[in-house]
Amino acid sequence: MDVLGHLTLGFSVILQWPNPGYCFLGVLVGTLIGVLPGLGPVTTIALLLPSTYYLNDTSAIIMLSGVYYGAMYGGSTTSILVNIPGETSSIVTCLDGHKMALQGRAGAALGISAFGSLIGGSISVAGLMIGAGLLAQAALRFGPPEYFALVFMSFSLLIYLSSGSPLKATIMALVGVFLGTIGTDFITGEPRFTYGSLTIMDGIGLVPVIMGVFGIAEVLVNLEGEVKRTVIKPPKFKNLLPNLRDWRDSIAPIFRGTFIGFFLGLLPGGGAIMASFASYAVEKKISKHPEKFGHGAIEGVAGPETANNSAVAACYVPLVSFGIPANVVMALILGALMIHGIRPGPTFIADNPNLFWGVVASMYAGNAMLLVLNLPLIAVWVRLLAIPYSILFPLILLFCVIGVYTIHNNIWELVIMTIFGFIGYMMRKFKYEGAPFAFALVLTPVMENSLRQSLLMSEGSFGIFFSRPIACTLMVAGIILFSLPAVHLLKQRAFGGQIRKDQRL
Amino acid sequence: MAKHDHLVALFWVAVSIFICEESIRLDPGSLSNPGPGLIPLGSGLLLGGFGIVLFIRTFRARQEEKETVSKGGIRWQELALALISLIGYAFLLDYLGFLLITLIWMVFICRVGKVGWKKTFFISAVTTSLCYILFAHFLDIRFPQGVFLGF
Repeated sequence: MDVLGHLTLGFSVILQWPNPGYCFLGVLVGTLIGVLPGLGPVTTIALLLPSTYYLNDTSAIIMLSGVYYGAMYGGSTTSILVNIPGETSSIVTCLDGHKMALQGRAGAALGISAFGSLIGGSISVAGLMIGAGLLAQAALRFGPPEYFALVFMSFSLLIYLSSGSPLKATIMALVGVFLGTIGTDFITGEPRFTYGSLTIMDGIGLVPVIMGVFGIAEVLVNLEGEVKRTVIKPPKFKNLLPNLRDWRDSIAPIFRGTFIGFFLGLLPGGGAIMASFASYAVEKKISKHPEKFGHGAIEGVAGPETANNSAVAACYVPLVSFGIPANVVMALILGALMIHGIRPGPTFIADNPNLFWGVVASMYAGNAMLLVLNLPLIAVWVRLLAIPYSILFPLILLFCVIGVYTIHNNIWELVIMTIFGFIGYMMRKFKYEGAPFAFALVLTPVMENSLRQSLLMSEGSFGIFFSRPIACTLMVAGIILFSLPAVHLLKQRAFGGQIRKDQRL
Repeated sequence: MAKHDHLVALFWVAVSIFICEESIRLDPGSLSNPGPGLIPLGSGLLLGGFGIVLFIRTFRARQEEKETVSKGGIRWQELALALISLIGYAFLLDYLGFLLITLIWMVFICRVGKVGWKKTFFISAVTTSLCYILFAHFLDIRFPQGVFLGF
């Protein structure tokens, strides 16, 4: 595999105008939404999705990717200076990052966070280059039974890794599956659950649903009460560079975070959030001074912030190899590719070399841009934190409305967004997670297609999923993962132990 | 909100009954010749099953521990105002046109968020104008003109 040659191609693509501009725009917007509460990469990418109609495919994906990993950088700023995570993946950074800031070491925290993100992001892009090609080769051996088994295992893993109740996550996934069937049946052409509506004849629409469940619902929840923010004054630029001792303490967590982030980013349902939590847990576990964690340990910042950036590049591997998104952001990137008539899969890299290698090269360029944006310009971002949420939320709502309307100029899609905004709000109140729901909504067409084809091949026998080695392995893994929460609970009951709240189904 | 989980469980069971009924009407076919109703029927049956499990688990949980009232219940008034305003925006967009309805809606939603009047008018006017310039002029998106202003 001529990786260097392909990378040269990629850099020639990223250096062609307007790609550098869109790369910069993406990382700038990403940093902005990472710093500001209320808009995450999911809602922002959904908001920008319709505008990609007007761009070429490479520029569109470069920009959207920049938003994703830019948000990881920006989220650490608020975690460290304000003790409020700008992004969910920066929650753990609050634990030690803000404590470091209170001890007068905000510069070291911000600096090591930025450099760790650069190192982790760069190494994991190398992993993407090699891993995507290898997995794409393996994916050529996948038929409908293997695809169904992979989707089933992905659902099981997502449910197992959910932070809340696995039972509720399963219910959300099933609701997502049902909603994913709304529209015209792709085999018979028969409308399903459309009741004569032309708006949902092609399906319920990913963007209105995502904007509703993640965007509108987030605003409605935040309207309930503004959290008071005390912003620590950002340090001068010269104090942002970590000293030798900081590097000595952080270099091992950075490299561990890179590999943890890459591995977890590959898994469906894993991603940046899981990676940052796992890295923190590992660093605390192996540390010679675990009592320092939670009181300003630089390892507690270096590892997680590296891991969350490393996971971003890894998330692309299943998407470009199998056409299966690893999380909701990748599902939106998949949507952007399909807008341009590109369906990722085993031949994606070979059929679209400029696109793939251009995006890979843009990640290197984007990570370098982010270092400049996040360190010298830290004071600019801090000023934005002073904007009260009462001013931000009408803007967020307006962008959601415009974003959805501009897809098809259809007011009924605004109604769908509003309905799902209410549903998303109620989901939060009753502690149902949005990720399994969105994941299922996106993957149901792939799942249904592969299941029906498999059953046609086997004349109705489910044995086809267990008679083929790859499918069998994936199915067994999925069944084990799905059963684990129930098995744990039964073991606890059998041995008479106290059941913790987090072990409940 | 734990104390209402059993009601939500019953809601899921009701939804599953609806899904199953409609799926049977669509024709699920057979396993050897799957029809358009098969996957919806499967998801409906599983949803009903897990809904019942959730109902039973919720009952047991209520017996095992004292329930705590969760902080931050549903703020129905703000929720209703925000959602109704979004629906109203959608239906009045074609009639009043983008500029007028966006201005009115921004004023309304800022007031729902308890923003002062001066800031409300300033934010509404500036945001509406900037959004129009950005989307209509730079991105060339066609917004409804409305019957009054015609632009």
